[in-house]
Amino acid sequence: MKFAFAPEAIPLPGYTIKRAIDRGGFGEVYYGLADSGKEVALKLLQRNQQVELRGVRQCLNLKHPNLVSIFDIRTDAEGDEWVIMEFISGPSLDQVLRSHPQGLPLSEVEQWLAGLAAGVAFLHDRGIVHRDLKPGNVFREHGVVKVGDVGLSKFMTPSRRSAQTESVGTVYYMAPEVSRGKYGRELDVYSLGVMLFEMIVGEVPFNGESIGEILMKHLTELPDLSRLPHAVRPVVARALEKDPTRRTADALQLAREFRAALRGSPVATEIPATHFVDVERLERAQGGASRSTPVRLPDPARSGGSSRPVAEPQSSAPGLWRQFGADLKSNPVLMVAIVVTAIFLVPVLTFSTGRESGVRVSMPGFLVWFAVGYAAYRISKKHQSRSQSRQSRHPRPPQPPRRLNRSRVSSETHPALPATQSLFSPAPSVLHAFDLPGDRPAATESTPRRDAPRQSALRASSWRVRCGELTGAMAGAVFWSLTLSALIGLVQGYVSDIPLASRIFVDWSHAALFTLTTIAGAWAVLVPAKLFEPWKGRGNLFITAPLGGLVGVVAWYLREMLLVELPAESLFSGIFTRIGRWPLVSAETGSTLAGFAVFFAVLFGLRRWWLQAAALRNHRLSVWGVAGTALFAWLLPVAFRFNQP
Amino acid sequence: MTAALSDMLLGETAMFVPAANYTLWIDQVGAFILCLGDVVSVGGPVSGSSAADIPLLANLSRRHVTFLRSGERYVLHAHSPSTVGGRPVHEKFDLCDGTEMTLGSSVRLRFRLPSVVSGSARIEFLSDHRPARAVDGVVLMNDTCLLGPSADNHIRCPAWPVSLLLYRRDGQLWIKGREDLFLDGRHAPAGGALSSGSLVSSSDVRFQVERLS
Repeated sequence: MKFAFAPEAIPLPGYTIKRAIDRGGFGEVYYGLADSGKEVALKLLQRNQQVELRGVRQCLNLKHPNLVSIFDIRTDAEGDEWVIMEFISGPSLDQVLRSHPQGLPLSEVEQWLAGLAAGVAFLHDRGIVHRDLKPGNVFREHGVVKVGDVGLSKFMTPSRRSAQTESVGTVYYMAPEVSRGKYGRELDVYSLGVMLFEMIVGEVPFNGESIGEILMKHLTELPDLSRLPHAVRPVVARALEKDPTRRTADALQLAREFRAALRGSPVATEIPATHFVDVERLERAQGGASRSTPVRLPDPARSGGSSRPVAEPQSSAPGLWRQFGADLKSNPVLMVAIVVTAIFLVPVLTFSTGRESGVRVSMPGFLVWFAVGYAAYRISKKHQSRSQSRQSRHPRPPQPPRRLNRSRVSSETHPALPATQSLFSPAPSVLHAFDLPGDRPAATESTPRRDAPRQSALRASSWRVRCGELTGAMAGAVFWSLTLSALIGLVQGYVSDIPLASRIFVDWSHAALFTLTTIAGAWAVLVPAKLFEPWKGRGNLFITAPLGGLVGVVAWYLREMLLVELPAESLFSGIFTRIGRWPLVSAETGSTLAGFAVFFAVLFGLRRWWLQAAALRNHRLSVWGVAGTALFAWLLPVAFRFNQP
Repeated sequence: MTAALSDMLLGETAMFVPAANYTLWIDQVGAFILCLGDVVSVGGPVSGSSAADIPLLANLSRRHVTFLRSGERYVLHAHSPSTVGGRPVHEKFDLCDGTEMTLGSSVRLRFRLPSVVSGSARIEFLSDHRPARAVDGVVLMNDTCLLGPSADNHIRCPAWPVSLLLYRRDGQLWIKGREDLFLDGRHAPAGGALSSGSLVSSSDVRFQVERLS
């Protein structure tokens, strides 16, 4: 919040600062008055001065109604550089989008895009690439859209088109070819495509929980066009084409195509096949959902045959694999069959018992089990999310979130990634970004904007959708519980110096008791979390404690059914050995029904398990949370006597 | 009371001595005019003493309308063609929260009473017309003015963690707020009196008060 200059400061002769406007990637911006009373925006360059100044000087004499004018560059007494710019009193597109979390009306989108495209096309016509187009850099004043912050602009000379080593900009809007150091005007078109998608949907097409994840999606993942109105999908698809040579030719063409699509004009675009495989197939699988009339753009010069017709068969091996994946996603029966196979058949084939080691799992068996099971699990999740997206297409709905934080991340705001470092290139830096501490966008300033609409979206989500999600989560819990058991079996197979009696899985009955109890416990967490999702997924101990008690009862009955022998003694004698007239342990059977119920009720009631499954939780899986729970469970018999296996 | 003030206003305006108006320059939020008087006029761009309290760069007469506060009530007095909800205003109109009005042919304003605990009101600019310097809104301050993150503040400051309170005491503007508040660089946990040029700051708040001439 601290700004370098206070109100009434005069850093440059003739200009008085009145207030701070914002802090951008390259420095602070102030509202100031010239001695004559002229309003100006004063930008103090604090980082990457040379990069910024180079771009600003190029644009100093550019005049266009859709560009924020730059008046001058001055140096203050301290040697700091200032850019004196036109002050825009209207809101930025970012502010407008914050007040429209479900997207803007299409007529308004058209107005924004038209102004944006005119400004960007003017820059391109003068040989300049903006490179940092994003909603925070676009304003509207008196109905006129203005593109600002042209400080990152670069000349498009052939020598500079490549061999750039710096990568700056905001990752949500960054074109994939930046990874290869290419800075052609196509990257501005890509950014316009991202903004167009965001203006319509209210969310960027590629989101993630870390910078690295977002960058990887720009490089590899296709945008989910099913959330767009049918008519504009081809237009956005071409603007978001990964290959710059197949992308929409220029900004004005993008605006023209969008306008034509809105008006139902026959002029549209040749559709890159890769963008529409999922959407079209899913719609066919829906059974007669409306199909778009294939529309073609009379632009053979640009496309140059690089775009394929939608239905062109793909004969290569990756194509067959993709076809299989698409069939799998659109065929629930096939998918269920694979899931059933993975869950029940593979472990039976890979588990075995040993006289000394107890239940054990071979490494190849574990890997096969995990690969098949995880693939089925991921496909199931993807199918589920696409189905929800399809269900909520008409009318345009609040989108149930798949990712929690959609706050903006820029290279400048990431403490571990200086702006002078390439975010894309070399490739390992992208992969390392996954591991950077604190790289979650949640830490940036715009989290409230992101979570509030998500909470309202959660509330608006139908119970049918919620039940579908719950089913998927419960199936996932089965998979992960089996995986955990398999992992324990794997470790048991390799560790030989532990006596049989001390092993977790002495025999099959122990493994089955552990696995089924884990599944029951996971379900007891997931069900209330989903039920309370409209209220931030918050449960309380008065709900989770009885459910925990129920899990204890289930575990006790399972033990009785499976004839599992648990130890008669416990490491801790326990402060409480009975509750009322019910003993927690007995000399014959070890822990009693009451012992099981009390142990699990306290475990579930006091560990605030609902936070681990809440829809708006910050972390998908908290390792410390799990470790803490294990420690808590181990220490719980200090208070309530329980003979743990 | 209302009739007397109205008569005074519409009759011998020279008798009326305007109260002080201030501009609040708020970092990362904007600029707001704070009007302490019970009578606030809005008009066109005329310089000098005959200018309205809020002179807009718009095709309006010198004093086009006047906002008059009487206790908890606000009344719009139209001296030149003005409409509310498309209907012309003849002399006066009782304002309520959300009333939208058009001055002349194109200046559109909205009257808001954002807080139930304060009788102060806010005038929002719906059209692009503004005073000569960019201003984001006008507060017709009764006894208190709230600045803070939620919508029930007179001046909404989304990034602020808590609200601050401006209030009148002995004809002067005062501030009350939080422990880490500084006034002109001096620690003022209990708040203090504000004058033209006062700078209010804390770890995440900064604004300056400037008296309008």
